[in-house]
Amino acid sequence: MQAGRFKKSGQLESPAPILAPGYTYHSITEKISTIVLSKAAPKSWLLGLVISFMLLVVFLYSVGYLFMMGVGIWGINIPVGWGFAIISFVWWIGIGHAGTLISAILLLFRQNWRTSINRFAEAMTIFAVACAGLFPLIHMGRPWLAYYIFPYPNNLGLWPQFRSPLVWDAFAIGTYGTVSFIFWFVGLIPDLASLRDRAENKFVRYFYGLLALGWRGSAGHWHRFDTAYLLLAALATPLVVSVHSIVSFDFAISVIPGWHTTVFPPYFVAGAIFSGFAMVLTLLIPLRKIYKLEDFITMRHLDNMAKIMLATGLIVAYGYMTESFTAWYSGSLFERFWLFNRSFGPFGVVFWTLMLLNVVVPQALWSSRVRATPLLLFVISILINIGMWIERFVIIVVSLHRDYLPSSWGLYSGTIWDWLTFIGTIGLFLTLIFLFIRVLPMVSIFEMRHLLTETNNHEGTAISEEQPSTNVVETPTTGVAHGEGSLYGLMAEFNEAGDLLEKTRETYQAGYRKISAYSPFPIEGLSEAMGKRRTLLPLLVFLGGVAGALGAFFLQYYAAVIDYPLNVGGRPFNSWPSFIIITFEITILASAGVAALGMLLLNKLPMLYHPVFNAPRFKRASQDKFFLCIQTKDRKFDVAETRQFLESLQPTEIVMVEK
Amino acid sequence: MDINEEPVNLKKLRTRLAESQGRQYWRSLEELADTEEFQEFLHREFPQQASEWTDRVSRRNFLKLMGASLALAGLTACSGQVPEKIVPYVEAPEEVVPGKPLFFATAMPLGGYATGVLVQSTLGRPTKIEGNPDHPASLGATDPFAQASILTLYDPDRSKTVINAGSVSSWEDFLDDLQPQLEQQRANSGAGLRILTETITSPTLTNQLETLLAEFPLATWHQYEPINRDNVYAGSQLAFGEPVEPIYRFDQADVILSLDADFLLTLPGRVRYARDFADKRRVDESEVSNLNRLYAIESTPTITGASADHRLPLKASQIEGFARAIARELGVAVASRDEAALESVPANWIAAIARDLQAHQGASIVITGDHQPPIVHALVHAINDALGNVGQTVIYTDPVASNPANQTESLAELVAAMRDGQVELLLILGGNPVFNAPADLNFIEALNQVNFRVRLGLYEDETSEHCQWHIPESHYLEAWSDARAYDGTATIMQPLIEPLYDSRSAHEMLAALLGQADRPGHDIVREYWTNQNNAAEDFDTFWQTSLHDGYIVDTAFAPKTVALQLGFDDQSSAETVTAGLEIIFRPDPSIWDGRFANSGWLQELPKPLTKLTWDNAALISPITAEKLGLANNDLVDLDYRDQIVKAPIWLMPGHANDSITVYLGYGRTRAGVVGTGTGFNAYMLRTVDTPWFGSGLNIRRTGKQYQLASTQHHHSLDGRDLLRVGTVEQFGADPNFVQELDSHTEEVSLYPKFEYSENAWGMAVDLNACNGCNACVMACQAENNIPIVGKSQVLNGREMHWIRLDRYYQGEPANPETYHQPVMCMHCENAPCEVVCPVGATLHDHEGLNVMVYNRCIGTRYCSNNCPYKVRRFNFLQYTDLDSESLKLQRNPNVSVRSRGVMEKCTYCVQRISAARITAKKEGREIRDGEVVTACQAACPTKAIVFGNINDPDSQVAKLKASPLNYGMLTELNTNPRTTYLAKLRNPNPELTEEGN
Repeated sequence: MQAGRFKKSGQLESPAPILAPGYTYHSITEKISTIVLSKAAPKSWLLGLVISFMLLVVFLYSVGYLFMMGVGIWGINIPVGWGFAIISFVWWIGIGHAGTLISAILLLFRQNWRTSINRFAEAMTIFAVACAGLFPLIHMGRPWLAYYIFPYPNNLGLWPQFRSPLVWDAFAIGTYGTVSFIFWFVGLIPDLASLRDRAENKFVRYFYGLLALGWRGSAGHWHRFDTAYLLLAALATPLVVSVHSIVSFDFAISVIPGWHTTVFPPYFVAGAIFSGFAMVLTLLIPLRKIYKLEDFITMRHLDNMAKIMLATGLIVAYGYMTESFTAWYSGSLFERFWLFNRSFGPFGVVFWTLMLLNVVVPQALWSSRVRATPLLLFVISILINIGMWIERFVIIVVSLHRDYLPSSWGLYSGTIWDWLTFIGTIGLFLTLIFLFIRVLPMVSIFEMRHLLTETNNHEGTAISEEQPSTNVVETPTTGVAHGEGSLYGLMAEFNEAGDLLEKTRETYQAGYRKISAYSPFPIEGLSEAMGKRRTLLPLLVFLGGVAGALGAFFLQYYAAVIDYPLNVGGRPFNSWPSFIIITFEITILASAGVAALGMLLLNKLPMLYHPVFNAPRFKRASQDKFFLCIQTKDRKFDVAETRQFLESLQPTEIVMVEK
Repeated sequence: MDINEEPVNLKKLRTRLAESQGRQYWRSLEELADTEEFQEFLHREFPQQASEWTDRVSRRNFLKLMGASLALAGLTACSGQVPEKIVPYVEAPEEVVPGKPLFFATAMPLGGYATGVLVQSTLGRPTKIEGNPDHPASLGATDPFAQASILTLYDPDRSKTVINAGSVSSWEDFLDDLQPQLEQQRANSGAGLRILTETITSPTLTNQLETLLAEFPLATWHQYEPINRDNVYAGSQLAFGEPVEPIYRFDQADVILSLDADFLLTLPGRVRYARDFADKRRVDESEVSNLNRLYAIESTPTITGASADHRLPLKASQIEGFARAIARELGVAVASRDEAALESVPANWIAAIARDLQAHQGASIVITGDHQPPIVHALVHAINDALGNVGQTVIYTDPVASNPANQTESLAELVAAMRDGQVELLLILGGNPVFNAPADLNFIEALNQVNFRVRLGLYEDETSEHCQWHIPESHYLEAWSDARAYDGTATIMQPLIEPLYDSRSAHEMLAALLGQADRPGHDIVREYWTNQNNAAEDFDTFWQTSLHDGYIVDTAFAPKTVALQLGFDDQSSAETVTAGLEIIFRPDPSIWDGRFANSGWLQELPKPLTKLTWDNAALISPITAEKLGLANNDLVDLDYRDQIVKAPIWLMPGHANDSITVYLGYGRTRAGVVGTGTGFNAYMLRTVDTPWFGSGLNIRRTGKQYQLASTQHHHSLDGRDLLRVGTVEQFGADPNFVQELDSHTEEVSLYPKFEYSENAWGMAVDLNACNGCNACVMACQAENNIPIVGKSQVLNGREMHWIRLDRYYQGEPANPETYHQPVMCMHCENAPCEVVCPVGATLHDHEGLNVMVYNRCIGTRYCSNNCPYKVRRFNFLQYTDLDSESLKLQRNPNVSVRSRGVMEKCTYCVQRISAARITAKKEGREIRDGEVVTACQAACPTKAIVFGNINDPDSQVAKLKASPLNYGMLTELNTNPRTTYLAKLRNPNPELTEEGN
């Protein structure tokens, strides 16, 4: 079970599998969807939800009191104007990094092992970003005016001040949240279709049916889906890097010693991934145990994540070294004092705790034995989570509490309300996580099916539980009576993805054009086998991006130079370097929006009714069976002749599909 | 607590209704009755006010600050025209122009001594105090007390109605009750009548008292004020055989030796003295040869000591020994005593100082503090005489106080008489003897022997509690009166507003005793001056001119020739006990003798050196503290002459060893919601024979802590060149030495500079002139509607002052050099705060002001984080009291009142710039230099702050900025601050510096 380890002979031991052997399309589907569809939830889930919900109530109470009284209930003061709220904000944003990294970057790098954890990590990202996003809102002195930060036409002619990193933040986090959500939701659609088709309760079926938008899993669907998914991954990748870079600008742009540091962007990003993976581990290790997902989330996953943590942890440690070195080497009195004060000032203990948790503890991950012990990994991941929170405390509080004028130095400590608010957001986060694992599949089912075909245990013969009954042709009882007018087409069912691809190709070669193929996961080449051209989607996404870029830059230019030029800190009206960030964010946001919407629209989704749903066994198209349909619209279509042709393809079944 | 339990007293209600002036609305009988229960009920009805703060202590503070009152009493200000004519300072417009303030001259009395002020009146309500440029004690500036006095006028806790034995009553009832008592006194020639006042300089009041004493020949007038000049008068009695008032001319003095005198902050005439002193320290045209030199020998560190070129801590009791040594060195024939005291004085100090004084005969001043015993005063008189300073820099006049008798003795006599049952009718005019009489007199017990006790007071305080009748006193801004300044100059004080409540002035009170009840104060004062005005001059002209100018011409006392009587030294000095620690009593730099305890502004004003707010403390030198094992905030028992008081310890660098200073005035029990319960009562330790200092103090640790709220926790510059100091010698050798400290003089920017083609406002702060007196802080608070936040918020670093006085120490904690630096918004041209604001709530205007747009601010506090000077202030909670009606009257209508969640900071008094711009525009001209004066600048006694247009090379500020001493703080950040500083120059005696002192 020990992954990637050299034996004495020097031969590489084969790594643990990323999916335990013995699974079929059906068993995968069943195992994952049962968690969602079963009537009874595990007791541990209910207990977890109740506790989380109670913490959520604590959050609501603290925020209610906060809104009533003002931010003075917190421990913040002058000089430490930001406290727990911004610490927690940065912490949550950091946690929100693992999801998109796993989904997008590992997808681009074709890392198969991401498949079983990406859904969960993405959900975690969205919830973490939601928690993070609350803090900038509630930490404002006058949160009811938070909308001032967004550009909207108003009769005062006032615009946001686009040079401020806080505006960049709003755009960066808004974009990140939106794109992550789009990415997550798009990835969920095929699984929602599976749940729709497996649900027994009518309301549950409607619920998932509505969310699935009429997904049928046709070759065209999958083709555009794949393109869109890949494009979204490509678009999300720079976002992963940019979001925490931009968060780091909140500090790096300032003039405060300890903040004004060029190393911040890469160091923040590494830290974010570090903490993001730590949080994924913290959550997944118990979950895989409770839901018995050890077959899907294997030791290989844990091992890989531990390695990424180790790598990013080292980058973070390097970041600490660099910032300290720069402070010392700068020769600046204030920077040097900051360095001294961080280590030996009133918060020295906090700093050394940070060093222990974020630099020393992760070194244990060099040991493969540690990496192979889930309990140890769990403990380490929690320590890293705490360490990363402390890191933000050190950056924010320690830098602020003693800056330039000794007369204004002060101290800071959180009040009970600081703690309750922070702990309350953990409640919000966990509540969302618990609801998510009950309502949505926490492992991507279709991708697992796909993975089955790619891992060594598929061998092209993932066996359907039902024995194939060759050429059993079911004559529709009402076939002739309905006549061709009410007939949509003839549909043949296959057991294997390879069969479908091959037979589709044959059908196309036989001259049929109005054909469609349905599969529970994307099959490479299927669309091409039907003679479909490349999709327009990439072009649309490019145009969307260009429009976003131009629009965003012009908006900022117009606001700052033409409509209401103001002298801000002696900067020129056209402070174009400051405008780049938002231009970039809107470019991504527009592209991603076009990618997702374009995919749906080109797929003519949502379309909640479609004739193929009438086929009695079509439900299996979203689970484990493969269907080929020749429509009556086809010029060559003739009920008898086409049926004969289909029979020649040796399907397991042929049905007539009513309109 | 059930409000229905107590039946409504209808009689009381009718009385209340009858006495209320103006229209009074009431919602229920309970409200009308204004019972405590109902007040409680109201608080509960508005729970958001009752529980603003989270912890218990601060919640109490909240109630103090915010829940002070719902101002149920109808304000009577709107009840008709002021019947007497008052005369505005400037040319009176035909009629009041709404929005255009008028200024009226009057004077603020403190300890009897008047400081001339101009009061800004906005639509009939006084809103701001400025100095009167024509008044000798003011010269246009003020002290913090005068600035804050406007808040006292509107204090919701001021007493509003006549109280009889704890119940609401009326003036008429009082007169009815008084009449038989008076008849009785008239019958026995006033044998049982006593009048207790504070120090009186008012000619009219003196005249009234004399009349009264004539009518009641056996009656006695007693005077007591805890901060008095007994020692000054006794000292001159000793030296000259008669009490005289010494007046100093610091503008003529080149060398000054201060023997425990805080002439910059606590002496009468302090504002004038501060100006005169600063004028001799300005570096004009790079000329430094005329700088004065100050030696300060002091027990308690003061801002005077901080301004000194050489400072030496010495126990208060050892000052006499030092004075004798100097006197002998200068050839004055006095005995040498207490040689041991001089052991801590560096060897050549006495000789060097004496030489320096000798070299400046007729141009030097030796001065001692009011708290030093008479013998020291006599010694100082002898020294000044020997130096030929008398008539040059030291002038003697008749005492300014109408009756220079010893006040402590006077009070002791009264107490003795009361205890003997001789007193039947006691009238206490002002003061608060129950609170501040020496502890060993046991004043309360004696007071209770008096049959009929009447008290006139601003507040229903500790003394009122022990009197049957309490009559509300009119604030000085509400009443006609007169008073004399430190040099005798008299001012007729005119009211700015009709009394807000049913109050009486001292004049009206005495008139009632003289059978002239309800005679208006105006008539009384005017009649007195009519009688005085013997000259042929038309009285109306005299009256108009005097009111207009704020002083009466030629009323300053003429210099008096006095002869030094040798042989005063034969009387030995009193103090011989040396066991234990020495305790020193001093007036509090913020709340004085306790009379300002209920002024939130003064309570929250950081004391000049300790930066403490809301409390007094036992100040102790670091060495003594170490010896006793004490640290800041340790609560100790101060055990002095069988009295024990619990006090927190505060380490005071530069304090004399083996002595402890306690500021008087705290520990009030009935001050009002703001002042009650702050600090400890040091009067409990004060005795008749040691009013100022004495030895034999014991300190015991209690093991408990008491958290003191200081606004500054770090005292060292930490090697930073924020505050630059040089010596005259250094400057002479290299006038540009300050500039050379800057390693980043070159301004490098990727961006083109913004051009400010019109006015470019800027400020220069002369650290040579600034002495850290706090007047600017108070003026800014009054001008800009700055709220107070309470002790718990100060503890959390949330004070709101737009200008703060940073205080840094340099050198050994035993006797460090102390520096003050006023820091307000620097109005950086490349302001770091602006760039980070997400909504553009802080921006630059076309004249280079860094402006705050409160309506736009969403409160991210990013600007404050990014401000290297940390001058931004944030409303973490709803600090401004929006409920107290009377406080609304004080606010400056031209400055927004901020609510919670909004950032604020110094605006360079943008409202004053606007006013000047409008005036200039109407007259079709440019704004003149000196036309815009910021509030801090106006109040500054030393003219340390200069504001103006830096684009105009002829402006005063531009000239200062051209000085080689000019530097900006943190210029290496490329902030390009519009506020710059002039480095401080010290002028040490070369003889002493060589010795390393």
